[in-house]
Amino acid sequence: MKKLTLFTFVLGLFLSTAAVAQISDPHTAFKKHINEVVQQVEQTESAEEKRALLNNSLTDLVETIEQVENKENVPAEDKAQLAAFKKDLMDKKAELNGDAGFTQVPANQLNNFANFVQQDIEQADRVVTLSLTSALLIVLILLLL
Amino acid sequence: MKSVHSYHILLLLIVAGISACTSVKPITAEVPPSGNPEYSLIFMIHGDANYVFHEEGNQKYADQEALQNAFDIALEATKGEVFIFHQEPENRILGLLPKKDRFYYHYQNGILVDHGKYSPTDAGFDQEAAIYQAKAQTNKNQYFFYFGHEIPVTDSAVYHASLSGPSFNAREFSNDLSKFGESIKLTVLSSCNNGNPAMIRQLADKTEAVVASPTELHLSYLDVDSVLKLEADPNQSPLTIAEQIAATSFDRLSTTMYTPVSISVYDLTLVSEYVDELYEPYQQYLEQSKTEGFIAAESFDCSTIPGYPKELSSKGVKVFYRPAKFGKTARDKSHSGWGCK
Repeated sequence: MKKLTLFTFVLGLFLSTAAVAQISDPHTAFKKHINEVVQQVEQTESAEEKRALLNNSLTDLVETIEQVENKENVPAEDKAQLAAFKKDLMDKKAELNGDAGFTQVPANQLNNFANFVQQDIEQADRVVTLSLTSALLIVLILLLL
Repeated sequence: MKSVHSYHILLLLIVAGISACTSVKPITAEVPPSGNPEYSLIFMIHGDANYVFHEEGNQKYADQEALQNAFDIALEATKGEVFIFHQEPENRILGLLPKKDRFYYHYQNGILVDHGKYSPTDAGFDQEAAIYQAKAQTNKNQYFFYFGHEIPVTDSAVYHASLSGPSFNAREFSNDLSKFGESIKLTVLSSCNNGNPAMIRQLADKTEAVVASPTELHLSYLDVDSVLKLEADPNQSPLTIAEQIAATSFDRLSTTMYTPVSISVYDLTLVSEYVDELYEPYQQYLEQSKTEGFIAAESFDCSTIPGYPKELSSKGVKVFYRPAKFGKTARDKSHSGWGCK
């Protein structure tokens, strides 16, 4: 048991260190992550799988933001930004699945919807106005998910 | 980024005749202008923040794209003068001494006549305006182009990633705009959400016309090549140029974007008559939002604010609008051209 705990700790430390080393610019790393998801969606043939990919990705993002929101070292001004960002992502997830009064995104529009999500995130200042601390936390948690 | 700068420095060295065969001479003496410039273009490109975006999966940097477009325009502006300022992140040696990380380029009649590095002295354009005033050959027909993130309306926002402390906002922008000239013909704001009553009110006595987006604007920015119509007639109406810039940008963005596309052209000779009346309910809304700690996720049409004088707000405003393909605003089939957030 002790060996397993030690291994888990060392693995976690290794992953964290490697991730930190890679993320000198967490804002860009976050945008890269979104871009990879969009590329995956576009390369997937089945509409069902595309929807699942988008749904899982949006769920991961929402959960990541919730974790970051609850960290003590996150600046107060970021918390309001994070809450607005989370609400926006939840709306997108609802639209994808046809919940909360939205019409479900049709199967033949899923690539376009993925691009919409990416364009909306990149052009809005929601990501770049977050402090480095918050952006770094988001990327680290996303990488470890 | 370095490759774009290096190319232009190399070009400068070549045109200046600084080669193995010639002695070093002042560069301005080697490239005499072919005539007095008849118009003046000022490009302010903010790069002191994250400007990464993706197009068809490829990573791009918005400030570098804008810089390259500005260089292309400068080379074709054979009857004009072009200043390009690239506000890159400002580093400090040992955390103290500024490194002069910002760049300026001065073109005259399509030829690069000067370039250099500088450090900011404030969050606004003090240093850029000083360079411009020291080197500009004309103050006729001035056009100002800004490329960057949304210029905030409120005082508290920090804008430059590498400068801690000084804030940059709509008031500072408009104050510093007048340091370039008393009456700028056209101001183009290639940024998100700056087609709002607070920004336009600030610009009312500083510029004759404005192009801006009342909603978010993709980082591929506005297409401003139409300004080269000044080559044919440097004295033509800035509103004509403004509408061409808006129409060209709208056509491209409408075919590539799934988010809303909205670009407004404001004729400030007409808008300045009533913009205070638009500002008042917007100001009340901003104060209420601040009190309640509420941050709008995205801008919305100002005409939905209670007490907003809808009947006034279309005078002197031409709106190019296409709703989003998805999302809550996909159902909004029209826009007043004024954004609030």
